[in-house]
Amino acid sequence: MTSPRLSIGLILGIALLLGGCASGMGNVPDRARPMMAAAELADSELLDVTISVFDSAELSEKEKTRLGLSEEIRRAEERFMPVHLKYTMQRSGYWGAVRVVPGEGNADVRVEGTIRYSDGEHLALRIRATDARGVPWFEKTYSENVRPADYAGIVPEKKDAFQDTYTTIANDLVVYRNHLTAEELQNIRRIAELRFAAEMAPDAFSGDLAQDAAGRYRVRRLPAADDPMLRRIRAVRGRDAMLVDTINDYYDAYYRDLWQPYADWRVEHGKEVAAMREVEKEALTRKLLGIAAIAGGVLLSTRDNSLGNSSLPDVMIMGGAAAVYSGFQRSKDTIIHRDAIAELSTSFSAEAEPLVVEVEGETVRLTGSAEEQYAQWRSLLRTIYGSETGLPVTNEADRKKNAP
Amino acid sequence: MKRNAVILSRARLLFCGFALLLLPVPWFLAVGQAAAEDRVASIMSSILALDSARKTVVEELASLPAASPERIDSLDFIAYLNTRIGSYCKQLYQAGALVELERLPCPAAARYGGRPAGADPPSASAPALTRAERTARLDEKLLDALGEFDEMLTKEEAKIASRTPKRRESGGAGGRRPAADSTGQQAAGERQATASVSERQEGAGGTDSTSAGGGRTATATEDASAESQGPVVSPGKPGFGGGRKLPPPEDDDIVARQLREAAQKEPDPELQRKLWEEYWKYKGGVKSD
Repeated sequence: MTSPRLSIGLILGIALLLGGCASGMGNVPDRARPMMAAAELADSELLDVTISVFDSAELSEKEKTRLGLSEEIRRAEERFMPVHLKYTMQRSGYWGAVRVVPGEGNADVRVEGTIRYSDGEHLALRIRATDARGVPWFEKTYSENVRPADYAGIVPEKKDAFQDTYTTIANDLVVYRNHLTAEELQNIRRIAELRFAAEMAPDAFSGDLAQDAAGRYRVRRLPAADDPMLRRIRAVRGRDAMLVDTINDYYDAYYRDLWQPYADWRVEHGKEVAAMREVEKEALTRKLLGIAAIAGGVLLSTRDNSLGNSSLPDVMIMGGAAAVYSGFQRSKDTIIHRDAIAELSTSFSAEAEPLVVEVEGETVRLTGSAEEQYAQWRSLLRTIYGSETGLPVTNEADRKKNAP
Repeated sequence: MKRNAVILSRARLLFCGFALLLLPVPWFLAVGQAAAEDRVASIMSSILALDSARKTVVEELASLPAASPERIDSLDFIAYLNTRIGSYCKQLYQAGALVELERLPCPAAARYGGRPAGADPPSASAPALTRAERTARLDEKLLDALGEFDEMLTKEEAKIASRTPKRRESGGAGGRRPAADSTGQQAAGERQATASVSERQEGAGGTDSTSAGGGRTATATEDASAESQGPVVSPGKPGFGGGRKLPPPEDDDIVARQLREAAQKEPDPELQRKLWEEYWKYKGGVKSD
């Protein structure tokens, strides 16, 4: 036979447990300290990094309707977040050029990201890093919760409310990079160059690299240091880097334009979501406590005869019913917050969308005109190679046809 | 006998008629040649004027702080001048003025493509190029293509640099010069330049009478003024440039404003005339766009 005190305690315990399970989780340490290079690294030790514009998970119906999140906001974040990660990585001193690219890019290390969740209060990012050899460095999910107070000291380029996430990602990349030997670093740089060379002048360089079934590259033979074709390729690669720098100027401008409205939206949205959650939590707690009281009252009145004519079960049932009713009443208050969230998000989407359209338009225009130039260079390099070596060169169309 | 004399006289008349008919031919040829030479000289003069403006801006650039609005404007203007110079150089190349081209600040002739006027087409009898020569030519072509790409990126950088950040509230921190501010500065600069021109003209003994007569007349007076005073700034009636009434400064965009300032500062009257021509061409192009 269960004692009445134990029953009540058990019921209350379950109710409190159910009512209070709203805390978040995250693998990002609080106040993560950025890893900084102790001294300036030699050029040969620096790897260039490209961060692709992030991808994002499809928004659920709940995220759209309840949290006011939209595809427009995601498109903005997909471009905003890699730029902030770029700034964080640049400050470490461990990297060469860190650039955000619209596609895959050509660099020693490639970082890709997927936004799993983001609402200004909680951020979950899936990050994958691979080097030019095709060797995956890591693939991890980073998750962090922030409070509205965390938005107080934010500074463009330097400190975001989710700075711990960015710092942790940057640190993980540094940790992996620091495990590489000098020879491996050199190999990565070499393969990145040869991959670019093979793309621009396949007749001359495609035989220098081999790719295994897992997609990993290795050097089969090295061109001579004074190879005139390699010299030309380096000149072309320099232009490719300049083009990406120019595209980055557009992304940087976009980031600066978005910074303030995005921060404002996140703060206000976070407050409204927190208030809504508080109301929901309170309503749920009242309902659960009410149900528990009703259940307790019923249990006591049917099982425990020791209470005799005590009115405790009746009081518990009546009180429980009142609590459940007030819980439902409280739930209605969430509508006010939900409307406020929807209004905030609509306003921010309207502000962010033209900025995304602009930066995308500029990058598409630039990469499009650059592609025309690249085609011309490829053709010239092929002719030069034929002229220099006297070897027959493959026709571009044939090469594409024969490509695996 | 008499008949022979008649035939002889007719033959003389016929010869004289032919001679009279043929007389203008060398003259026409000479006139055509002179016109072509004039055109080449005019293009050369334009190139030199634009190059002079470019040098001035490049010199000023060194003293401008990085990322300042003035520096950004100057870079934009340099990109514009490069395009104009390139266009004139191409015209010279097409006119076959290869010798003149060599003396001018023009890009390598090979980059204009095609064959210049008067150049012989490659014939079967021409000596075949060696492999090294052929490769060197192709290398040059590649370098030229890369050069074009560099120019494109320079223009893009200038475009990005001149881009005004989009802010929801005016007067926000960290933004570049707001538009109204820019116009204000522009107008102030213009007023200053006009005032200095006016003061110098008064000192030169009044040259106002020349201003309404068009570019040529203005140049003549400018020469006299230059001789008497050494390098001076922009003679001509205030509010006029190249013999035409200037629009209000606030109607000028960055390039037009810089061209106007370059013309006003140019001490050489001939180069100044050319810069005013460029200004009006640019204004016409902007309006027609």
